[in-house]
Amino acid sequence: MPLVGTLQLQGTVAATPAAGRAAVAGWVDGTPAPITGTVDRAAVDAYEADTLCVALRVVLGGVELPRDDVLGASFRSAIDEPIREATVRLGGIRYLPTATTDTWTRTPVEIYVGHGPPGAMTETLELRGTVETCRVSSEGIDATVEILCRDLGAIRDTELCLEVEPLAGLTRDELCRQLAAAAGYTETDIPAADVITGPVSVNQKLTSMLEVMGRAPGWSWTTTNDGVLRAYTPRLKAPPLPPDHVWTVHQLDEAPEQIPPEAVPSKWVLRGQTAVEVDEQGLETETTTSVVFEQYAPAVADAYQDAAGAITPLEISSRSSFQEVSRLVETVTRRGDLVVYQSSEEWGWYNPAHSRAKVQALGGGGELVPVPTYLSGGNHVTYRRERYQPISRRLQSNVYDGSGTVLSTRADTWSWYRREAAVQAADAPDLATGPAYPGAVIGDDNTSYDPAPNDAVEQWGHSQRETITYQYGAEGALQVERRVVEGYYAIKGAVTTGNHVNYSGNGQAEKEAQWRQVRGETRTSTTDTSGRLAAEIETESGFTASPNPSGTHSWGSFASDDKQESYRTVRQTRRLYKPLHNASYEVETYEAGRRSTQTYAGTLPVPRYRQSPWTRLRQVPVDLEYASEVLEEWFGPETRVLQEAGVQDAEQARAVLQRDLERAISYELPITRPATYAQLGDTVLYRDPQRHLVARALVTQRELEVTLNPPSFTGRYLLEAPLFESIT
Amino acid sequence: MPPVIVSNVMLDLVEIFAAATSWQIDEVEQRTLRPLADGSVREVITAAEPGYPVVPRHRTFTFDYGDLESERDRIRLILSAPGRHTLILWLAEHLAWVGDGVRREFLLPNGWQQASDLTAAPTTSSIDTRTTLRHASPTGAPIPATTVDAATYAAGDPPSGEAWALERSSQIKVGDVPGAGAYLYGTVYPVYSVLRVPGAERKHDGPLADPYVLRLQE
Repeated sequence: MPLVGTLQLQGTVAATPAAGRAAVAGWVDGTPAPITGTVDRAAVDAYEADTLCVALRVVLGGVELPRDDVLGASFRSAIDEPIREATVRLGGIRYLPTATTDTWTRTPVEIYVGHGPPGAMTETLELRGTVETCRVSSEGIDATVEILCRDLGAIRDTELCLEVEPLAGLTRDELCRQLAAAAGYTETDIPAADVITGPVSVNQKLTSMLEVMGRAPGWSWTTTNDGVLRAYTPRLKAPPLPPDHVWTVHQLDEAPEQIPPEAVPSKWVLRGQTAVEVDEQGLETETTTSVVFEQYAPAVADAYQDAAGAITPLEISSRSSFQEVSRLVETVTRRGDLVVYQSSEEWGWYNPAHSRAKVQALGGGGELVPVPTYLSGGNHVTYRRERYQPISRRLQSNVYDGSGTVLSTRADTWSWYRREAAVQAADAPDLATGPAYPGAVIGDDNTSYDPAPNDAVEQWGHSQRETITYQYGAEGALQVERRVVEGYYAIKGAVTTGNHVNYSGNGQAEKEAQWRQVRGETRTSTTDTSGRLAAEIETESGFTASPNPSGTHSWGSFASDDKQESYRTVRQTRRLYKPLHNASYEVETYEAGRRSTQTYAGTLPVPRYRQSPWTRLRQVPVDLEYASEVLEEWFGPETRVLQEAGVQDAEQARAVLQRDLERAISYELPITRPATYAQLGDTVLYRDPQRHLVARALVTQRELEVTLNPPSFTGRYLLEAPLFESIT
Repeated sequence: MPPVIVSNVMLDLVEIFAAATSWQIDEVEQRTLRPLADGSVREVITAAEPGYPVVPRHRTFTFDYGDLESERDRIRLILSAPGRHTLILWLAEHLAWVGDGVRREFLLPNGWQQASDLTAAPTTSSIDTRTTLRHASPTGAPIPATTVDAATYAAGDPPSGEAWALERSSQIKVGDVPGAGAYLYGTVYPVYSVLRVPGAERKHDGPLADPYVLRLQE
């Protein structure tokens, strides 16, 4: 099947003086497909013809400068430096700083270099950027103004502030795109890269951040003249790939100096870091049991009360022995680092309280009759002897959102609890007349209770529930914390018609305690612009009745208009946090109409914040060491430690180390020659057999200099020829 | 016969009859040779403005007069005024322009005009002092550039195989457009526009002789 498509081949073709022909091969769908065509030498000749015309065109602030004013220009770039620079020399007093602002303020500038053989000149836009500053040198009454231009111009200083959640699935290239966008680069050309696992907190300049992120994939950065931020990978092309250029010493102005590697560290340590999510799937339960053994004799009842109320002393028989006296079982269920459930159960020797009497129906009313039970130390108890059993159990469960922020906490308590119950109606003249409430039991505290099984006062069961919910604001700070306590509670009331009376004499609005919300607390916080506490309002609610000396209802110890308690705000406290100066702050408290202030040392407190997923992460160091005996012998022992925040795994660490070491043990060849079309990151096969050097080298610096009178078009290149192919 | 008409030097269109004992023309080119490591060289030229000769050159003229004789007043008076002077040597200049396949109009460098436009050639000369152009090769067929007035020049292009020079101007137009990269050669008898090189040196060799070195720069 014929395949139709459009291919765009990028790259340079080595100059072959013999013919303007070259072959390019490509692979389409895995099958080698030769592509033939003619290659125009014009791009090469535009730099390397035997007769070369050069020209400069400078557009400053949108205005093309007169040709005669432009004396020369030079352009500098390097693979380690994302900013390209240029210097333009202009002649004329109208370019002096006192005459114009265009030569020393951020004025847009475009510098074109015209070059090529006579009649076939091409024009290259070497730099589009902005003016940085200028330097003036005067010759007589005329002046030469050198203006320094940069391609990144005004935005290169941009300080970035960006936070990326860990494990957000963001790729390295996407992160760099976001960084670039924050600095104003809307268009980028960045190759796809790995996913960033760790948290990224950026608070530095764009250029340094890009450098950090580009280390692992070996990116160098540059901006094109169209303002596109580009990442490219300068790598030496190894055989069988052809080099980009072949230079012989004869093409140069002079044989270059050969700078040998110097003081290369023999031991390299690279430290990177990555993040591992602690939140594994599935739950993990951990149980801790603490048991106390003691010489202990369980308490036994010393008397018995029979149904007639007669108390008979009992023979005390209890043997002390070394035995378990308390057991605390803590169970924690985790998902990752988050505690989902937490329960604690306490066991001990316990004898629940029992009633001494109970209300029995008698006609329309009732009567108190003794209850047969044991007495221990004068108190009525349920069993003849203490039993080893649970005393309390607490179960707490937490609810989190996806990022691990706790949204609510519920704590349920099981214990030996009592429920108050009335013995008669409030308007009953006495118990016997009624109406009385048979069944209520009387405890040793002279209070009547709802009977537990077997007329006991205390019973084992779910006795309290405490629920705390958290509400966070848009900034992540805790705004509202609501705490609700539920339990058995009998709403109190005046001793008046419609209400009931406990055996203790207190009025009750209901016959027996019901499960209900007993207490509530709400704390509302606001934060200032810096995220610290600015104000707090604490509201506490509960059951209460308002005393009123002339109230219509008697509550025994006070009078009130309220017939029964109602659930309402009991107390409200407002606090204002005011910073005094750097080291102290003042808290102004308003409570019940009173104002008080107190001064504290330190900065304003910080409220609870939404859980950051970062705290669920474990930073895992990536360490790689490389030691070379050869290098130690050559240069002496020296260690270099590289801190690489952008390196995430051992493979990347090895690649970074390989690149750094390769460059450290490279010959440097500073070359001055007629300007060529060689670009940064190109591979040059440099041939100088007389001086024992035939090597592939990387173009790491490029400087182009154009002068017009006398004319010259010179390129200065720094080549790095590594000594070894590989370190591993 | 060599076109040397030294005695017909004209300064500000005034003929100077004094005979120089020697004269010299120094040319400064905006052209450098870049020596390479193997001893070879390459040529770098400051690109000329479009339409001008490929190699920009400027000249310095030095005339050494043993005695100004009767021209003493005439020369000194002309040079007593500042500013540009015209200089005609009735000497051929040789130029090369490069074509781009589109351009048919070319310019004489440094504001030159054709000398024959301003004044008559010396009668002692038998050569044609008009501008002569040659396409593609220095040995190509010579095309004399016919001097035309502004109206004619602006109205159209010269027919194929011909060339026009605009009267009292630097502009030349050819009938055949030179191809891209092809050279157009020209032989021109120009009017130079010069300034006197500063420096007042007066030396008297005896009561009669008034030696003078006239130095002019383009």
